[in-house]
Amino acid sequence: MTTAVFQASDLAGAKRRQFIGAARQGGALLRDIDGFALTMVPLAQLEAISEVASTAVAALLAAAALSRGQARPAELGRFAWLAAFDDDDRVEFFDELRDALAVAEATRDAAPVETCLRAWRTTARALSDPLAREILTGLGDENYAEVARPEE
Amino acid sequence: MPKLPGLKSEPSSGAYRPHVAARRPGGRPAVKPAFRVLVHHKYLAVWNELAARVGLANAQQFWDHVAMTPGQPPKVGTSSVMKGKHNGPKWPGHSKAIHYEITGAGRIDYQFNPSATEGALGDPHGVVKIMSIDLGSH
Repeated sequence: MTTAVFQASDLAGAKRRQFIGAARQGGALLRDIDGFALTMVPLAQLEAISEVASTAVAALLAAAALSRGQARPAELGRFAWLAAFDDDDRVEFFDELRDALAVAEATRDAAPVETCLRAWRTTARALSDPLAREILTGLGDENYAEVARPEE
Repeated sequence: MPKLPGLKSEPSSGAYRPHVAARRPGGRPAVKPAFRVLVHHKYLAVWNELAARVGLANAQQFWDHVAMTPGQPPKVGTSSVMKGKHNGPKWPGHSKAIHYEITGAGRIDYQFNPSATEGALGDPHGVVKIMSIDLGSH
């Protein structure tokens, strides 16, 4: 949270290091001469906030497209891979993503969102292959053979 | 040159023995695998190409991982639990399906059971079942 407030003139004086220190700690607010507000925050936090915002918007758009019925993958935008899942799984995905977004927003760390998306995308890739889908979604069979450690 | 006790016969320097297979660099695993590794018949051909497609080191790292610690995060590569309703055990006692990703090279999906009793002997043993392999989309 941005709490420390500085004036433009502070950047040329002894408070310059305080300004940078406050920014590194999470945020520094700078008031220009005309009162215009600028904030300096760590890059990682800015990227996390951007990622949370863009993912949330994309998820809302995808959810809206899905709520209208049979959505084409292109209508799902960056979540086109959701086409590999049925309605129940999509509900589970949006529940998980909402939790991940909430944690990421609170901690200013996009890792929970990235982990959630990576895991779901990986499963979507697996299910997009017809043979893999048949085995992964079917009943377990006994058509397995033991293999040894790969050697040269 | 006298042989040292305990050493298997080693070719002398410069010797060429065309019918002796070369040893795998690094030697065999130091400990016995805790899990038998099984592959679905429909993916046996892909499995047989694994080392050629992803590199011997990657193939061996995967095998070592599932043969010893299939339920833990791998030391190399990444793994994640399959998402969605179909991730559950396909056989009694098995884990959820796990995706193991060989960095930049492919994905292998498996379930495991630390105390399976399948097979003719019925003895308890760990088993890993590789359900699918994708080496083409990475």
